[in-house]
Formats: sequence, structure tokens, C-alpha cells
Amino acid sequence: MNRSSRPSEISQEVIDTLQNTAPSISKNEDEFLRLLEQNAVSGGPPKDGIPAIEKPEYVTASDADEWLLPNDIVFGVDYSGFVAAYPQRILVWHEIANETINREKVSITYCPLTGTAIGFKGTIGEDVSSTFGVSGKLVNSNLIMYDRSSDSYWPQVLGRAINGAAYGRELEEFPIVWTTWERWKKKYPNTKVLSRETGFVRNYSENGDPYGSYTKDEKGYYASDSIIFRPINEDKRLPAKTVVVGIRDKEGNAVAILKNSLRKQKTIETKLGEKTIVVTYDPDLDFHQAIIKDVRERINSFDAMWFAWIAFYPDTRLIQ
Amino acid sequence: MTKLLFSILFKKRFFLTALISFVVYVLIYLGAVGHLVFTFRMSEAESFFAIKILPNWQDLLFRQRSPFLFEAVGLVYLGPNIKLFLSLPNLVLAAILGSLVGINIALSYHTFQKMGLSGGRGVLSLLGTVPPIVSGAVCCVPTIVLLIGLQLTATLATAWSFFVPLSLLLLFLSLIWSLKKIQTENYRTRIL
Repeated sequence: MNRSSRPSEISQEVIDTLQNTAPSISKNEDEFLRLLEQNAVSGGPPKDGIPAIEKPEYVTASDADEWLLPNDIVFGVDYSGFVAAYPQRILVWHEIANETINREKVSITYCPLTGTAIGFKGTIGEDVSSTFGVSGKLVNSNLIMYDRSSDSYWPQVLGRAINGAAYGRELEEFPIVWTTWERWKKKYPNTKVLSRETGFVRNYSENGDPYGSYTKDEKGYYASDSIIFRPINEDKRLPAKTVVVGIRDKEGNAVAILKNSLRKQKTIETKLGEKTIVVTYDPDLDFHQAIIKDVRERINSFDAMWFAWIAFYPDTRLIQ
Repeated sequence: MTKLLFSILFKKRFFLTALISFVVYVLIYLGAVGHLVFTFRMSEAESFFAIKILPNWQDLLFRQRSPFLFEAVGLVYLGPNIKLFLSLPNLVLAAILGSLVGINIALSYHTFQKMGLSGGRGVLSLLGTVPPIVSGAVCCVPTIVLLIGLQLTATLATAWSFFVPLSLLLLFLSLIWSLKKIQTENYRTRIL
């Protein structure tokens, strides 16, 4: 993969630290990570052609009410005392917002082509913390981020480096809630909202999403069955853009639950490898939470388009 | 040839043809690359006429978003629901492309008047105008790919990055071809 421009803040010390403490990777994992790297393609824009938001500014909920519609999609963050909403109509143009919460670097990421919003902590290795940018590459149509400390490439859905000094490392995640502005505001009336003053000018208006629309009836890319970039693995059990709730662990086990089924059943108990997980639907936010039953520990779950999830996790268990 | 070109463009009807074509093409091009947008919700209208320039415009002026598409450094509100994103390189590009398109169409009109259908190649000369219109990009992908539901291959992605220079070349060749044809025709008429 051509990585022509290396960020200036990369230091050899960081590279050495990452390489000296590289994680052990099984042969299968190694093959899969390399397969992903080989299948990374340019989406057209160059590195940082899609600019991440580096210093997010926020407005109050009442200010946001002037331009956000009740059914606009927002990505809600309630992490470590920090509560904020990131409107999809802004993040669709930037894909990454780098923020610092309690002195911890975090990134709020969104890939429009795979319908995935995931929160990542910036720690990419021992004592190595980084912000992320948009590489301009995609794999399985999914955003490939790069970290600005080692210039390693990280497909968003995988949350794992597929090349560079951080190869094989995994990012820690925190939950991001995919919901509507109306629902989020009702639950968090004092929330702050990402401002349209991003440092760039883009069409952040109601009809500004270049891929289509999530409000009212889905339109454009989100509603069509066509996939722009051929994924590595395909599975026709569900239409390509069907929304599933994806859950995976560090051992590589993965489960996908049809989101509409979860809406109906409210609670689903299932196996993730050896572990039992309980996935609960929250009707107020139209979102979900997954818990590892034995240890009562939360495990990240996020919405994804089926084609993207199955492309990254071909052995996933599907619960319809 | 330059003399011939100006002698044609100095005639009012051909000049107007070129000017109208120029304006129409520039508007279509800016719309296609997403630098001229319409918002439909009245509450989103921020001003009837205002200009906003980013404080860090100098850093962004030549920053590429995709091949031949540059960052806008400002925004002009043209009425309550029309926004023009200001990108200097793209405005220059639009002007160059628009001029070539305008001149080509004016020359086609001229040859059509002089020689009838055998001289008019209006449709053909317009072919060169298409690539820049489909060269626009949304966040991750070329707009055209989204519009017609193509599956993007590496080859297409590479070809896409050459759309604008290809268009410039086609329009320029078309211009030379038209002028040569007019020159030959003028010479033939004089001999006869």
C-alpha cells in the first residue's frame, strides 16, 4: 500500500516502542490482516482529503435546535462525564472527530459507506497515544483511518492495524449511540452538540448528505442494494444494507443480530465464543447495550450494514 | 488562428453564444462538484447576502479534496437558499473550462451557419465538456459512481483522476480542429 505522506509528528522512538512490544499474532490472523491490506483501495480523495475535525467546537442543545431536525441522526457520546452529540450531517464530511476527554485522546469515527459509528481511545501502544486521520483508502467499503504517531492503517470496523509499526494492535473502544436528535436531547437535555464551525466549509444542511438521506424515507446509497467497492467476503442471507448489531471480541468471535429482531424481542441472550452475552434494546434511544453475562462487563456493540460486517467477520453467527 | 478566433468572437451573436455557454457551463460545473448548492429549508437560510471567509484560508487554499477538487476557503450566500463555496483553484478551473466550452460552441455555431450540418459538430464538441462534470467527489467516492450505482474498480478510480486534464485536452483539440476547418473553408471560398 502506498503511504506517500508520513505525518510530521512520527518519531523513531514511537516506532521502536511499538515494534519492540508488538503483539503476538496467529498465522490465521496474520493472513487475514495482510489480505485486508492487499484489498485496500483508494476511494478517490488523497490522505486527509477528507479532513478530520481536530479541535471540535460545541454549541448548546437549544442553539442546535435552530438547525438540527428532530429526526436527524446524531452519534451520541456519554463517556467519562462527557456528553455530546455529533450530527451525522456534519460527520459525513469528516468521518473522524478527535477529542480529548479527561486528558485522554479519543476519536469519534463514522463511515458512511458501511453505516458504522465507533468510538476509539487513542492509545495505540504502551505510552503511545495518537489522534487519527482519514487515509483516503477503503477496505470492504470501510473507512481506513491512520494514526498520526506511527502512520499505521486501521480499518474502522476492525479497530486493528493492518500495517505499519502498530501492525496487529487493537484499539480500545467506547460506546457511541446511533440515535436521533430528538431521542438524544430527551435523554440528555444538557448535551452539547458539535458545532458547524469545523474549520472547513461544507454543505452541512438538511439535504447536504451526498450519499442520500436517513431522515423520513431512506434515500440514495443507504436505500440501494449496490455496493461501491467489492468486499472480500459476501453473504446473501440478508440484503446488503440491512442493519445488524455487531458484537465481536478479541478472540475473533463475532455475532450479528438483525436490528429489527432486537427491536421486537427487546432482549437477546446468545453466545459469543464461550461467553454468554445479553443484548438489551433501549427503546428511548433506539439503541442497544451488550453485557458479558458472567462478569457483568459491557462489550461494545454497534450498528453496521450487513455486507460490511460479514466482509470483516465471515465466521459471524447471524441471529435473525 | 488567434486572429481568426477573435474575428469570430468580435461578432455579437458569437460572443453572446460563447458568453451564455460559459455561464451555463460554469454553473453546471460548480453544481456538479458541490460548490454551488441549494438548501430547501428556509430556517437554514443564514443571510440574504453574506460572505464568510475561514480564518485559516491561507492554509487551505491549495489543499486538495480529490483530484482537481480543492478545499473551499469561504462561502458566499447568494440569496436565502443558495450557497457558493469559494475555492480559488476551482473557480479558475471553472473559468478555463467554461471559456473553452463557450468558444467551442460559438465556433460550432459559426461553422453551422457557414457550412450547414456538414460544418456543425455541436454535439461532438460537447463531449469534451462531460468529464469535469463527473469529476466531482463526495466524501469517499466520485459522485458519478454514486449516481449511477457503479462498482468502483482501481482502474476506474485511476481514470477518474484524469477526467479534468482529459477534458481540457479534448476541448483544446476540438477548438484547434474547428479553427482549422474554418480556415480551410475560408480559403476554399476565396479560391472559388
